[in-house]
Formats: sequence, C-alpha cells, structure tokens
Amino acid sequence: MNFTVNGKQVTIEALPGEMLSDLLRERLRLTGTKIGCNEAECGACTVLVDGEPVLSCTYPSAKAEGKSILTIEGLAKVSGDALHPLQQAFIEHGAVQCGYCIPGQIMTAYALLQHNPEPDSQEIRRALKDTLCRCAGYPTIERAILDAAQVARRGGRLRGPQVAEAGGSEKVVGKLRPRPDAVEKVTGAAMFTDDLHFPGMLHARVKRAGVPHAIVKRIDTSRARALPGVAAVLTAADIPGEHYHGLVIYDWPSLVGVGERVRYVGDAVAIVAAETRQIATQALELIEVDYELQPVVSNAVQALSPEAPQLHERGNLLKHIKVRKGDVQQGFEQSEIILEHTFHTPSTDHAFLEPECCIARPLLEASGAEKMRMEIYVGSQIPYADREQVARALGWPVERVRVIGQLMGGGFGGKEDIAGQVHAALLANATGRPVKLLFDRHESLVVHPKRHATQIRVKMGARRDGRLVAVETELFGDTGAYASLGEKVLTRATTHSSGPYEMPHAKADCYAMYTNNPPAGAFRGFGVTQSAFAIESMMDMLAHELNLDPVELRRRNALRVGSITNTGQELRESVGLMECIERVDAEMRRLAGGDPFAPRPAPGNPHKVRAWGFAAAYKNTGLGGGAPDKAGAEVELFANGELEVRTSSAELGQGLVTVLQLIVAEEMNVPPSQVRVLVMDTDLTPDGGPTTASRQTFVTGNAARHAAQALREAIATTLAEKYDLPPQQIRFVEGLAQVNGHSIPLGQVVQLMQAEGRQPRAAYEYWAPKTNPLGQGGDMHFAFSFAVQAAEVEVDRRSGEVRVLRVIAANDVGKAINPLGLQGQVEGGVMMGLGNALTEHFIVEEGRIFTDRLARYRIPSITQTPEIISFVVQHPVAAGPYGAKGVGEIVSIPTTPAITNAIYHATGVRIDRLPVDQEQIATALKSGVAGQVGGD
Amino acid sequence: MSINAHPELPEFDYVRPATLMEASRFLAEHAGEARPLLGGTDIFVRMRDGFYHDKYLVDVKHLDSTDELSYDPQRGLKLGAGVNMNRVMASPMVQAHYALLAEACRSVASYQLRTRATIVGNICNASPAGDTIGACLVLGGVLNVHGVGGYRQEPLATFFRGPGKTVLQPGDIVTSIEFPPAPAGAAGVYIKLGRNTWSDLSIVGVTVYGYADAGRASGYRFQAALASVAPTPLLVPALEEHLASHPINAEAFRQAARLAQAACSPIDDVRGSARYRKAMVRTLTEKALQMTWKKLGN
Repeated sequence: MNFTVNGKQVTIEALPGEMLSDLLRERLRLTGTKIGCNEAECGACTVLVDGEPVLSCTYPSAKAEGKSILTIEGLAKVSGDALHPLQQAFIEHGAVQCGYCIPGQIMTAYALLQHNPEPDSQEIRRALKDTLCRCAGYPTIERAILDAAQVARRGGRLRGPQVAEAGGSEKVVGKLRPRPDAVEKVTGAAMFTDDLHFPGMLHARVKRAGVPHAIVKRIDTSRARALPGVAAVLTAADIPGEHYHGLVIYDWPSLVGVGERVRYVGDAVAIVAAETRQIATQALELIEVDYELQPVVSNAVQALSPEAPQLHERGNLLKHIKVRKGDVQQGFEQSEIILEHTFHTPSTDHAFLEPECCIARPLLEASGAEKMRMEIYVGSQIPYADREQVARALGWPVERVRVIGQLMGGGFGGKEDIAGQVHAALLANATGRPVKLLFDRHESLVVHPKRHATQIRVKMGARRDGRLVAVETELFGDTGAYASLGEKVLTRATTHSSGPYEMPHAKADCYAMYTNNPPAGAFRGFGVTQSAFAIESMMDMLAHELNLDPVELRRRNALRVGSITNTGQELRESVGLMECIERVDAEMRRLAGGDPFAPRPAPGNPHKVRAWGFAAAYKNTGLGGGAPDKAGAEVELFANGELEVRTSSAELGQGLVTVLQLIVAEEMNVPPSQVRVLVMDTDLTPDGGPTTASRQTFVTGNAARHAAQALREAIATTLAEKYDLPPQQIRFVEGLAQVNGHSIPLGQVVQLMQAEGRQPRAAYEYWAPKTNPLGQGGDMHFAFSFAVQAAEVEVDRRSGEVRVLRVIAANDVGKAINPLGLQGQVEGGVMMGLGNALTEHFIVEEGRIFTDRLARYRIPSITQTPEIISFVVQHPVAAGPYGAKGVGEIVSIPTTPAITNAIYHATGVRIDRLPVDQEQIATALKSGVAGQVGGD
Repeated sequence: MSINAHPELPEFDYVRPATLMEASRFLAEHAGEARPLLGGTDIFVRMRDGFYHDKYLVDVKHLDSTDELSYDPQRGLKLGAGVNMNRVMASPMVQAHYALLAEACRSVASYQLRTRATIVGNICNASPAGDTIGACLVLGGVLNVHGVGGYRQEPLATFFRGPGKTVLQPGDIVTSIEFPPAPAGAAGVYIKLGRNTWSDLSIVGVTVYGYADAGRASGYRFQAALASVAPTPLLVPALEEHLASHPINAEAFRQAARLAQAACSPIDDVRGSARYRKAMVRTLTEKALQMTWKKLGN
C-alpha cells in the first residue's frame, strides 16, 4: 500500500492486525508517537490522518492506504520554522514535564487550530478532553495553546509565561528557564525506553498468577518451549542467584516456584523471551500452572485478626509503628471537648502515562562469560537499587551490571520498585541476546505497587478556645503482598497523623499489614496524603463543634519556629506555615466576598451550591528517621567551555535536570545553556540515592553546588599558580575567568589543568544533616515543607455531582530555584490531589483487580481543571541549596481535604471515605441526614 | 470478577469488498467470525480485551452511499454509515434542523475518537448507554439495511433486542440512517450524568425533544429517551401521552418525570445503585423538559 508520512511517500505492506501506531513506531521508527494505554483512552498516540486527529493505537494500518499522515516529527516542517509555534509555546510556558503525553497534546492542539484558529479556553478543553497528562500540566498546556494560536494567526512573538521569579541575589537560580530536554520532547526526538531498538532483540512477556493467594503445585513449560520463535522460558528453578528482590526487605519473589506461595494476582510464575511479542504472548498461553487456592486476606484490619491466613513467615504484621509524646490519657482528661471519627482511603494508582519498559542487553566480553556485563535500559527512580537487585538475581557482583537510566514518562513513586528489570536480565543472560520487556497498561495497573489503602481513627481533645491538647490516631495500612517501601510510607503516615500542629500530648499507632492485594509502596505524598485527609477533616469538625472559624483554629495550633513536633523534634527554622495560612486566607476572603465557608447558591441555578474549604499540611524533605541520606554529583569542564554535571539521581518529569543546570550555572557563573546534565547511569554518574521523599533538590542540589564550587576553586588555584596571584583575585564572569584584567575563556583552563596533571572535574558526596530514628526524639527530619490550600467547590444538590472551581495554594519551599518547574509541580500536584479526592479508586475485591484498564481507572482530565492561584512562600532552610527544601509532594497533600471540607461547607455532608461518592452526597441530602445548611 | 489475560490484539484479516452485495455475502458466509467495520473505535479495544474473536473485519465505510450526508426539506436528513461524528457536528444542515443530534455527538468520547466514531456504529453497538441513540430515537430515525436479500428499512424504535443485541442478521449491513424533516421550531436536549470515578460512560442519560403540535390537546408533542437504565435504550411513551393531554406547566413536567422514572428498570452496578439511577432519571427528565421548554421560546 502507498501513503505519505510527513510529506514522504511510503510503500509498505500492512501486516494483519497491525495498528497505525505500530507501523509508525516499529517499522518506520517514528517513535515520537507514544503508546500510553493501547485502549483509546489516553490520547498519547494522536496523529493526523488527512488533517483529522485519530488515535493511532486503534487505527488499522491497512486503512492508511492513500492517506496523508502527519506525526509530531513532521510538525515543524509544516510551519516552515525550526519549531511550530505550538512547540515553541509548550517549551516556553513550561507545559513540558515528563514529556510522554506531549506529542499527543501538540498534535491534538494542532488539529484544533486547523479547524479553529482562534479557540477559547472552553474549546481547547473540549478538544483536549481525553488527551491525558499525569504531570497534569493542564493549565500550562491551555496557556501555551492560547499563546501559540495568537502567534499562528498574527505572527510575532509568544507572550510567554506569567510566572514570578524567586527574587534574591542569584543570577540564574530562581529565574525562568525552559527545561534542557524540552526541545527533544516537543519534536518527538526524545527517546524513552520502548523507543530503543537493538539488533537481535527478543521480546519478553510474563506469565502472571492471576489468582490472589495460592500454592503453586505444578508448572509445565514444555509446550511453550516447543513453540517456534521462543528463545527461552524460565521459572524460579532457573534463577542463578537470589530469588527475592525488594527495596528494604527482600520478600518479593522474582518468580514463584513449585511449592511456593502466590501472594497476589500479579505474581510472576514464568517468563518468556521470543522473536516477537506476539509469539511471546502465544507462549504464555501454552504454559500450564496448577494452583492450590488459599483463602484471601483482603484488607489490613482482617490481616491483623488471629484467624487470618499468614502470608509471610514472619506473619502478616510488617511493622507496628508508634509515636508517643506526653500522655494522651492525661491530655483527654484535661480536654474540654473530645471528638472521634474514623476515615477510609482507597488504594490508588500512579497511572504514569509511560507504562514500565526495560531492556536488558548482555555484553559478551572477549575475556569470557564470567566477565560478561549486563546493561539495563530502564526509566527508574533508583538506578543503583536496580543494579543491586539485578546483580543479586544474576548472582553477579554489582560492577557487572550497568543501569542506563532513560527518560521517564512519569513516576510519582511508582518506578522505585523492580518491574521488569530482573526478568529481562534473567532472559538476556539465558539467551545471550538483548531482551525488551514492555508492560501494557493492563500489566502496569495489575503489577506495580500502589498507594496504601488505610483506615485511620482520630481522637482529638481540645480546649474551648480551640487549642489542641491531645491527638490519638490509630492507622491500619494495607501494604499488600510485599513490603516494598510500606514500612517507610506508613511511618510517614503515622508521624504526620496529628497534622502540622503542636499539642502537648500525641499518640499514634500504625499497623502495617500484609494482604493479598497488589503491593503498596511509594506514591507522591508517601502516606501523608492519607493521614492529612483524616486530620484536616477532623480539624474542620472541631472548628464546627467549637463554632470557630476553621482558619482561626489552624492559626491557634500551627507549627511555628520553636514548636516541638509529635516525634519530639524542635523546629528551629524554616516554618512558613503561618505565612501560607495568611496568604491563602487573605486571597480566599478577597475572592469569596463574604464568609467563604457559608454556602452560596450558584448564579442562575438554585440546585447548585458553592462554598470554600481549607486545609494545611506539612511533609518532610529527605529520608530522615536516622537513614543515612547522601547524594553524589560530579561537575566537569570541557575544552569547548561547556560543563557537565553528573549524578544518578532520577529525572521523572519533575525538573531536577533544570535545577542542577541552574545551580551549576550559578556557581560557575556561566549561562545555563553551557551546562549539560547527565543523570541515571551507574557507570558514569555518582550515586544520588533514591528519587523519593522530595529530596533531590536538597541533597543532589547541594552535591552539585559543592562539586561546582570545588571545581571553581580548582580552576582558581590553577590560574593563581600560573599567574602568581592569590586565588581569591580570580573572578568568574559570564563563562570567562578574569585574571588581572585579562579574560580567559573557561575552556582554555582545561588544557592548563591537564598540563599540570589535574583533572578538570570535581566530585562531591553530600551528606544531609544527621537525623534520629523515630522514638528517640530530636531531629527526625532535617527539613519540612509546609502548604495550605483553599478549594472552592460547586455541588449539585440533586445529583451530588462535585466540581472544583478554584484552588488557592501557598507552598513554603524554602527557595524557588526553578520557578517555571515549580509552577508545573504546584498545578500538577493540585490536580493529583483533586483526582485523589474525586476520581481515583483502584478497586480490588477479594484480591482480584477490577480497575485493570485505564477506562476503569479515571485520572483527572483538562476539563476538570480548576483555576489555580499559587503563592510561593520562601522560608529558607540554612542547609538547603540557596535555602531550598522539598517541593514534589507537599504541593499535592492539602488538596483532598480542602475539597472535602468545602463539600461539607456547601452541603453539610461530611466525607469520611475517599473518593468522594456523589451518590452518597445525593442520598444524604435527600434523606436530610446532612445538616440543612444549603437550603433548596 | 476474574482477571483478564489481556492478550495482544489477535490477528485478523481486514477485508475491503468491492460492492455491498459482496460484503453482505461475505458476512453471511462467515457468520460468527466476521464483523462489519465502521469507525473501529470500539472493536479493537474489545478484541484486545478478548470480548470479540472475529477473524475478519469487513470495512464497509467506502461502499455505496455510506459516505453521504444530505438534507432535503421534503425528505429530511440522511447520514451514511461512514459519516463521522465530527462531520455531523460541523454540518450547517444538522445544526440548523437537528441541533439535538449535534449536541448528542458532542457528548461522545473525545475529539480524536469522533474523527472516526459514527452514529450508525454507535447504534449497531446497541449499548444501553449509547450517547447518540436517544436523539436518533426521538428524531424518528429509520435504518437502511443491506442484507443478502438486498435493501430493507428498519425503524430504530424496534431495532434493539438487548444489550449488544439487535434485529440484524448475518450479512446485514446498516448503510445509513434517515430522519424525517424536523418540525419547525423543534428543540431538544441531551443530559448525561457521569460519575467522576468513571469515564464518559453515562450512568443515566436523558434525551428530550419537543415541538408545537396543534394536533394534540396540550398543543405540544414531547418525547423522551433514556440511556443506561434498561437493557436497551428506552423511549417513554407514557411521558409523551401525558404531555399531549395535559396543559404544559411545571406540574405536568414533574408528573412526566415521575412517569419516566417508573418506565425504567436500572440495575445496581459498580457505577451506581438502581435507586440512585431511578432518582436521577426523574431529576434529569424534569430538568431536560424545562430546558426544552425554554428552548421552545417559553
């Protein structure tokens, strides 16, 4: 058949069952078109066919006959410029984060502009309705399209983003700077793992148990092995090294062998590598497995009961976590009011748009098999942990494994654990060939660790004036089949469970339980998302009982400098909570006009009612709890004057690469464009530790800053010796070293240094301030970020439907090093919090997963995006780079309780179970259970 | 609830017959393993999920008049089976005379899917939740069907037999849908209640259509169709009769909404309880009637 792609004639035979996306990606190697779901839900695969946008994942390639196809790779050519105005606008506005959805966003927007050159916001939202972005840069995407449209119509320049700089004395830190990888992400040139191809590469698939709890009685792979095109079929018996993996505890079997226990539906029993993915899939069906089914443990409360089946040798209790301050019994006796309530939060999924993919590539050395190395290409949040786990499975020393981190299409905590890395490596080792293991969306949803489902009981005692006296919490956390980071996550849930408030008496007990549900692990917010919902709901309930303004109640109890937290930590600096409260409160009252918490009928519709809700939160930066928290970075100067900063820390879309580029540029006094960033390669970059706990700007930022300073000093020393001057007289200005009035381009120093036997690079291993384990008092964390949000909702009193209209957010981030990236984090964080409140529910019943496709697991779309008003509060932390502390998680935490508190104010219905159930609201309003605050 | 093995898309043959008769014969000969292909927005997802196992997909989009979108003041509107929803929405003739149809299309899925999704495809899927079906029912749609015996017509009102089931026989291909000329000044609305935790799939959909009609005691004819609350898309004759014979006022609309509620038989499922759905049918029907009344200039 014949058709054109991006103006070029193509003659190729369509394959049976082939979709256009496969033809483009696999056979024409136009990998800019992405596959997010393969079920026509996410929009990432959008291309234009004869000028109309289509989802290429469900468009048979045979239908392309005679058509003209335009993909992201051809867009720039259409405009005749280096970049189409849409591409340029996406870059400048900071609409590009992880970049995975961007080709789909831009192609959909382009199609819209072809039909409607002057769209308004509503038309843009309608057109992009199902083109999903999990970084949730929807507001910036919308602004970028509006800006690009006016340039496309009238020419001239983009208006650019309206984002405030951080202020301060720095030259580049705190200024607006597009991401270093933005251009490749808007042109389709960016390579994600599934975009890579190696000669001779095999395709792997995994036989999943499909039953939640069972003992494997028999595995027969003989028919699968006999299938032509199958290169290897492996079971547990074939693992040369360690059979288990895990981030803290090695309790997760890479393959469940005969006689062993299946603990969740996603457990692997066999793996296949074949010449094509189709053959691998056929082989899976030929593998026979017999199971002896076992009773299922389906929630954390059940797991603790003595009758529950025991899932691990050590029992079902992963950890009992305790927080003790003062004496709550005494505290409740002193209290003038005591409230108690229980809350439930569900499991949720990260739903990053790039499903997991890994390629293992064996390097056969001439020196023999025992020297063979394994390269692992993967988007991973912790490359060094992957290396360790893969090496142990292979039974190799870690040096023989190299993890080469790839661009990540989102992570949010969901790419910290092993997904396909071990399986791909085992198959590559067995076959001696590169092996790609790609999860489809279904497998991604079933297999990787989720957010912990929790049950949280809060008992709160206070004085009549609102001052908290005692807070007691009891949490049950469902960590699923395997530990993953469950203990750490639930420790954070527990220590944060009395909220960002000071009280003399606090007690918290958390039971981290194993069940037969998918494992639960890290997910943006790391346990605090759950406990913040409980405690912030309680704070509003207390304010209601005391007839106090909810903001005033928080003011009276807020942590401030000098406060002692519930773990016994004195906060000595950088507590911006009060400023966050005041900024949000002032803006909320300005917008609301009257009492923001009083229900108001929506204009023109007596059945709809509006009100505001308020919530505060805090979140640690860094690992804390006594864990050594360090990061390494290296900075090198090249003869062309460019610098490179290297660290294994992960870029998952959040903008670490921009932060590192700005920091090194600042310290070396060069333009940011002169600084390259290399991340996530265990051979080439020093260990930056896990990208989790909102820690990288702080720890790797510090490491990069110190490394750059060390390099600057080494350069100064070299020049000082050559020109016989004190080093402090050497100045660095705009990429030049100034010596005695002469300007020497930095690149020339490279030769000078090398001539003297010095390397033009410096490495630094940064150790964050020491922390204490929980229970010992003192500093459990070296920094906390604070945030306050107010949300305005509109509730339809008849249907119970909830819409979020506006969100005001203030975040104390210490220092905004990368304000454009920070805006993306804030807006995306609010949207993720909104999804957590209203749309997201990972449904598991008796260990079986219902939400096993994107059509059943709803993440927020652009149509649900409220107006987001952001205030950046900067209370610097002395040890942070330029005063900065963590950003990635805090931005998302207060959103959910702000929304549910607003629903209460609008309707009198108290939401104590997530996600918000519109039917519950409608039923409560109808039956009159809710307080009659709205009127009808 | 069992875990789905979620296989890759099975291999299938894409068949492009030269004539309608060839297509009908092929489909009849391969009954149970061949399926006509229109937009293909649902078929491939269902094949990947293992719900469909067809070996042949027979593309009928290019045949005969399947590409036709035409309007004649005497004969009405004809939409070929291959006419995509974006084209329907953009048509000035549709906007002028069948605005309800454009509104229903707008509520379907996404911009990209509507490039390929067709109204006839939506109808042939026979989902009780089909967004455009209500509009087609109240507008009096009639399907032109080509089978091994040639052409025949099927009124939409008697087309559905159950979820996913229709009167079509192997070899039958719906080539187009026709609508009679719309009465002057007619107006309608489609209200779809979704659920935040769910995709676009409606948990209740209400279509109302009305126009002045001197032949009825009330001076008006109103019709309503309900989605997602019965095994098939549902017309509500009781509502039509009530509003034909009672003076049009708020109480009449309230009573009509109660009749709509009584007419439906929703089930409990993971998206919503039957009770909630019934309550919402009443609420949304009343709202849709009032909105239509306003559009009629009252």
